[in-house]
Amino acid sequence: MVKYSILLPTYNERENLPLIVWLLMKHLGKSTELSSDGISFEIIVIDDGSPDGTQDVVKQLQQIYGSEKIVLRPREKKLGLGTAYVHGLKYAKGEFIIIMDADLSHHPKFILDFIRKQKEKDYDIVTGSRYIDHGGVYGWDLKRKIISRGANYVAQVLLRPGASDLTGSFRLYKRDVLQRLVESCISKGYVFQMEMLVRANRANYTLAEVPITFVDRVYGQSKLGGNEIVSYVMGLLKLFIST
Amino acid sequence: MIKAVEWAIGGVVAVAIWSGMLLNLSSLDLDAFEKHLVLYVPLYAVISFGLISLGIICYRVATFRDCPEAAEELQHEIEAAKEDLRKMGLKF
Repeated sequence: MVKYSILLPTYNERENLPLIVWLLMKHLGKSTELSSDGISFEIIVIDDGSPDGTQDVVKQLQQIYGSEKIVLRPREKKLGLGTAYVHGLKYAKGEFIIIMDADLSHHPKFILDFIRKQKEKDYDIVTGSRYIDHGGVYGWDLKRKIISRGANYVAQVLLRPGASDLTGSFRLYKRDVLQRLVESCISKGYVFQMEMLVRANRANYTLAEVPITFVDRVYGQSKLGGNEIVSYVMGLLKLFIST
Repeated sequence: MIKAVEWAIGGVVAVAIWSGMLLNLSSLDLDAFEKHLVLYVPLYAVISFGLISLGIICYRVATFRDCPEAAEELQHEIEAAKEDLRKMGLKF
């Protein structure tokens, strides 16, 4: 019986995917107070037709760890994140779904904290937060920090969503909760993750947060350009008038 | 309730209270300073909201934790992972 399904949407992650899988095995496979022989989990890779051979590397990993543990569910081409979760959910066997990025910015060790927190009060959602005590980021300059904190503050004031980190994508959901939320969310990019939590809040799902560190390994280029800021503001306003 | 509607209701209530005070300004027994306050209270509210917001954002930026130890730990684990995966036959 698989208890936790980890959804990993990928696009050109040939380098990072073996590492993230190895880290998942190491941290979830070890003996803890949660389980003496490790957590029961599966990894579902949703690859959007990466040209770099991500899927070949998944097949190699299946040779090593088994195709029960690592499930490959590719799609033809690059499609949205929301539909990647819908796609993954079709095959996920777990009672809980964990979503995270495959680029190593999210460390698998935090999943144990997510699981502990979920068990505390049977929460519907546990979300990782960079903004609370013991959370943090690595590799962000002052400008990036100001934009992040400013954007988050505006969202907090306007939407009062009951969660500190709205745009993060490292979370644990009860399976049916994710299913229902993802069907009602239409936004793209950063706003998608925000919409998920805002709608969860409006639907009175219970939510808890655990601190995470976010290690940004994309050096040299800021992922937050003018376009992202404009689409963030538009998305925010849309949620403001609709939720 | 939709958040925009909540804000609109709040705005209408605030404007109603303020205009009520303005319309009855002459009948209220206020000194010059108090009159000034009533007249300019929306402006002061906006300014103080802006300043408080700025203060909060600055504080949060200043206390946004850098975590070099997390990056370092990850780097070590990546090296161990690569070595281990190679041993298990993975071709990078």
